[in-house]
Amino acid sequence: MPPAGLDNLKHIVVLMMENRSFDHMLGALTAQDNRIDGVTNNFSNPDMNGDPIVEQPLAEFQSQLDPDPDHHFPGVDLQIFGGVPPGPGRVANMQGFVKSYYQQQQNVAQSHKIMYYFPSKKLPVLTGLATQFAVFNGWFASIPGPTICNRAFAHYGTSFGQVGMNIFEWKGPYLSIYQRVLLAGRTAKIYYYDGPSSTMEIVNILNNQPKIFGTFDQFLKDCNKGELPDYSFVEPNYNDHDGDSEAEAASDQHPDHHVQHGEIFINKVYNAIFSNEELWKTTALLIVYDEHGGIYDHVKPPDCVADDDAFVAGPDKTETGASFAFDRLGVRVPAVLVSPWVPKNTVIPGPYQRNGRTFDHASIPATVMKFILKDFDPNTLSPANRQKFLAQSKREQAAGTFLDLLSDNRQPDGDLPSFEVQ
Amino acid sequence: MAKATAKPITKARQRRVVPIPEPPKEAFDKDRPAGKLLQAQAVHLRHALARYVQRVARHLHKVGDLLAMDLSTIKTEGQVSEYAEKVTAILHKPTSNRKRK
Repeated sequence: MPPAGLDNLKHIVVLMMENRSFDHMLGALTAQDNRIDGVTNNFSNPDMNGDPIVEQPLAEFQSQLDPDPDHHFPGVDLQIFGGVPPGPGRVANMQGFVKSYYQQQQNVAQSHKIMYYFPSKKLPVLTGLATQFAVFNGWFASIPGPTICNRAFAHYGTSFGQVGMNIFEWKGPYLSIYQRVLLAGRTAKIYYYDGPSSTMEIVNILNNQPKIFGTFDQFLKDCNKGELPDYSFVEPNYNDHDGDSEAEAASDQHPDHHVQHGEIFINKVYNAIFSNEELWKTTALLIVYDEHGGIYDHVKPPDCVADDDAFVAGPDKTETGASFAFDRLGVRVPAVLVSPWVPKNTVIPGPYQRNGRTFDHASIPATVMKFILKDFDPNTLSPANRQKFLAQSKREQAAGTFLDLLSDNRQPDGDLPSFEVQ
Repeated sequence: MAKATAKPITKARQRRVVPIPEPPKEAFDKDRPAGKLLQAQAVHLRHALARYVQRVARHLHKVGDLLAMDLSTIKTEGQVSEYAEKVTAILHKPTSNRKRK
């Protein structure tokens, strides 16, 4: 008999934000709960003068990380390995973040800001949900690289060998998780914020599967009416633009967008689900960031199983002089699982801790597949469709899943936080 | 854009209130230079649009004849169905979930 939380589960919602590291957003929580693997006084990065720069609680909502910190493959390689070139026996040391940021402006004082983090009180929504529900100590970007390839892992369980932002074409045999859910006769949707913001899932998904898209306004309506699909992926507003009646500020938290707008957006998603009682007790919401955005985190990204043989990025793509077999994860990012069935104040240990677990964005389609297979028999599909439905990349096959975090006991509504803009 | 709002919470489901501050109006700046992500998004959108046009263009030689057709010459149900089949094939394909090779 599965736990009541899993038995009740009817909807999975994923909200993917942009470009912030774990230490930067959630690291301050270590001061109030030492199970959370965040900021201590033990971590530093050398600056160009050789001085050790420690993490400091001086992060600002806006106008601080300008220029946008490098988070493309060679930049992240420098951040993780401190400038040691690829070669046998190379070990991650997380010593190149300040050096990497310095290279962008040759400004020593500015380079120190890559080590700044937010005091918990400045991010009441994200830290409030993290401490009320479950926070992952070991959720990593799928690739030590930028947005598009990392988001591909959330949709396909692979990036088909891509490590950058270039247009890439679906190569098969792996279907998007939306196609797989639809094959099973279930429902799935990507909700982008609005037309001017559009989506980041363009060339392969929007171009070929336009019917699975909706706007955030539709998401709110679907929550109200109890018509949320089995699986939903929510995208924040990616740019500042004029709306129908008011200014629409970017809510993705990508530097240099104002972080508080992202806090308000996260709350809107949480609140939309909570406000429908039936939906609230049958939904698991994962809030996760696509990658670290070049901002410091102290946990060394672990090795992982290599992706399919066909998906290897050559030296021309990595720009590091070496190939990449997708056998190492990217930098750690914030990830929080929200559900009334998650025990209060759950901390999921990371890979270097006792009973540690590792997750990355391939964990999203892997988990959705487990959810669908809970009460769907793929043998009801034709042989060709069954083969397509069950095809998973090596990375997705090996990815950790998180439905086991749903328990038998439901948190009472009265104990939960209600975030109100004042 | 988001005109819909969450359902009002009933008294029985009241939660503890945590205040969050309103961001300043100056945070909004639509003249902010677009970063690499947004520039890449525009490239991807144009690529997708070009592919959409290519898909439509495959049918252009048929469209010309069908648009120029004198509809008064369509007299029978069979003639209507022939015309409907050709036009529907053109209109439906660009937005359908294409089967992949």
